[in-house]
Amino acid sequence: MNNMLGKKRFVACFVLPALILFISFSMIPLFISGAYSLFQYDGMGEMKFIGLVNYIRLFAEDRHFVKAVLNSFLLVGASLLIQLPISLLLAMVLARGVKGEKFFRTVYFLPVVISSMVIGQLWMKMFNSEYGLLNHLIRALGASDFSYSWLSNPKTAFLSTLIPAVWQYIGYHMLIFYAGIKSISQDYYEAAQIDGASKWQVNTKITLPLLAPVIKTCVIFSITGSLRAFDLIYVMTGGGPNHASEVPATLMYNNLFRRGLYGYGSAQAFFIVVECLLFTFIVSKLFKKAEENASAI
Amino acid sequence: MKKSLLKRVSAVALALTLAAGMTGCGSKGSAAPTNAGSSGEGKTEKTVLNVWHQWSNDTNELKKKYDEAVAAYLAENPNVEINTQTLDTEAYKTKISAEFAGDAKGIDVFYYWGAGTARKMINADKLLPLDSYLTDEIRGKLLEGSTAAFEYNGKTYSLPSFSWYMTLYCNKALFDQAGAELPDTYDKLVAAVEKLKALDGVTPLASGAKDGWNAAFIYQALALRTVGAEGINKMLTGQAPFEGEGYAEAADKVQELYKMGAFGANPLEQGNDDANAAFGTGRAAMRLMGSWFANGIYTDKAVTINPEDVVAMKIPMITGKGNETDYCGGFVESFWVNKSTKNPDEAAKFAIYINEKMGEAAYESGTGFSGWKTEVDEKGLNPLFVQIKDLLFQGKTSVLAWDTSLDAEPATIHNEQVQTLFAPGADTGEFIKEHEAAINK
Repeated sequence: MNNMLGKKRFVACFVLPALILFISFSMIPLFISGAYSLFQYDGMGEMKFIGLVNYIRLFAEDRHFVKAVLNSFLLVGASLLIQLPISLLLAMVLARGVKGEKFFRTVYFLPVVISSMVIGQLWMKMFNSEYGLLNHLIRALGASDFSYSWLSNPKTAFLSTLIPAVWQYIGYHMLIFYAGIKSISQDYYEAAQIDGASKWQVNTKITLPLLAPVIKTCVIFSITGSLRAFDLIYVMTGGGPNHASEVPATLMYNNLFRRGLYGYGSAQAFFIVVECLLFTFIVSKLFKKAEENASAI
Repeated sequence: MKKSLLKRVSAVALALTLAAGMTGCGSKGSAAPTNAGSSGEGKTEKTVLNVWHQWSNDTNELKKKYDEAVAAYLAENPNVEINTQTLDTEAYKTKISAEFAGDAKGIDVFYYWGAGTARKMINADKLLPLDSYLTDEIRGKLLEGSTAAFEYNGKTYSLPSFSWYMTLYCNKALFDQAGAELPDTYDKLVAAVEKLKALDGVTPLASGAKDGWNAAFIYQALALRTVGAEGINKMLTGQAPFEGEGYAEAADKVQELYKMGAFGANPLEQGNDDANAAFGTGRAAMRLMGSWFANGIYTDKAVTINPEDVVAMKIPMITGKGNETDYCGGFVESFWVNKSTKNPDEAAKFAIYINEKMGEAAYESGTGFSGWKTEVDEKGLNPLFVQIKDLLFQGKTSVLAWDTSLDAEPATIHNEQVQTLFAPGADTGEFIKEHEAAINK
């Protein structure tokens, strides 16, 4: 086998199909939208080259876009500070071998398997002012004529989409953490037990450091997933009311397909890509040392 | 040595299989459209027309009528094959604009909206003008003034099928129960709302404001009275800017109604379908909708109210403003021909035919008013539709729905901005400013 992989022809043979697919369906469209973003283009008429005007407009004129970017940062923050810690905690508890481990693992993973459209519909029902679960609960607690509409009020619309967005992927990250913890050799734990380490010490001195590469992956997934979030928010509020719950991807969709601004929409799309790459790069840098330590153990 | 040879051979074989599999997929995908162009093997060549429209629901009366019309056409034209595709309105609009960003090869004839909506396609030279196909006979059959939304730069790109008329549907039974009077003026509307609010579980006017165009209907109706049809048409066609007190006054009135609770506590939670259902089941006393809504009150199985209780009203007048002969509605929907179609003659012939047939069908089924002078059996018309027909005959100047008259960008901004009036803390100044920026470019 080594002999075969040593030959470049063979390597090329195997890599080529995937490479062709990747280039034609990811890289080329990316460059095309990068090119479109420099034009004023309505999708079918003439294309007028306008240089970086679309990008200037993004930040200088479009207050909705600035708001959308801030919203996406909020989502990133919620993912990192709420979603990942909960996932990690659940994974640690499950990996320790609780009763019904398999059952809980499946239950927590369930929201990941369900389509975002369905989840959006479910949560919309929960937030409904008349028959929603949340308002029923509040009414049961005493406020008998409470009929607040969480999703159609600009003040709470984004917050209300944030909760399911964070909740949905807890199981996903939990499973990655869980697999990571399970792959740590039992020898370390046995050695620690002999040395008389406490559970806290075992977790902080063995599990977490050895999990660094996995945590890095989850952080990157979580950040990029939040920056390009679309489906759930689109289903629940469509970015409204009055752009209060807009994220860059919903705004981009709106600009491209509703308003017919292909050039401007492409600039937004390109911005999302660059933003994701930038964050991936930063996170990789930040985790470099922790990863080196992990592999040194 | 032998072993490594075997490995090499197997590796190459694997790679070849992969490549073959992929090219297999590729050629299948790209061959599909050309296959669609010819049918059967060895049989006589048929002209295949790919037709797209937006009546995707099987219960839709217009879908049934379309299918019947196509069947009749095929019987008369055995050399033609018609391949129809459908999608729901919003998805349909997206699909059409994405297809026409290219050549839209899979589309020969398609349903679309004229006036501002199709202008982008006209400017990009994507549509086939039908002038050379319009004989005097065809022109003679058209209702006067029904083609305005389909004419650009002196050319006719489509023909009318049916028009619509914006109607205030009132449930008389609920009005009686509340002791309210049917509103022919805005003041009476306000008084009726006050009384209807007292009924348990009844929304005075179901707005459907979660769908932008539903919200916009309410604003457009009030603006029709505060500004007048002539002024609005000038603004929509770019001959006059979006300015003047009337527009702000209409926005204030929407807010006033919202604050009174005319649309229920949280109108932005209910879309078009929810609002239709609310009216149909007696949970709403009024609904401002197009004439197409009338048919469903008789045919929709989910409707529980007595259709005889429903009264069709004009948009209420605002004392001292506007003309009573102004109305919202008109001809805007029809079938168009893709300029890059391979069979322009057949496609144009079918487009003209289907526009006429759908016009008649819409009238027969009580969903719209035909743009053609052909004789239609009026026996089947429902009483509500007859009421609307009488209202239409009193009308003189019409305004189309703004989002079909304006270009895509201002149209979207208009719908979004009207929705802000259906929530607490709306700002009329901001509303006007956003409109000015979008429309007065």
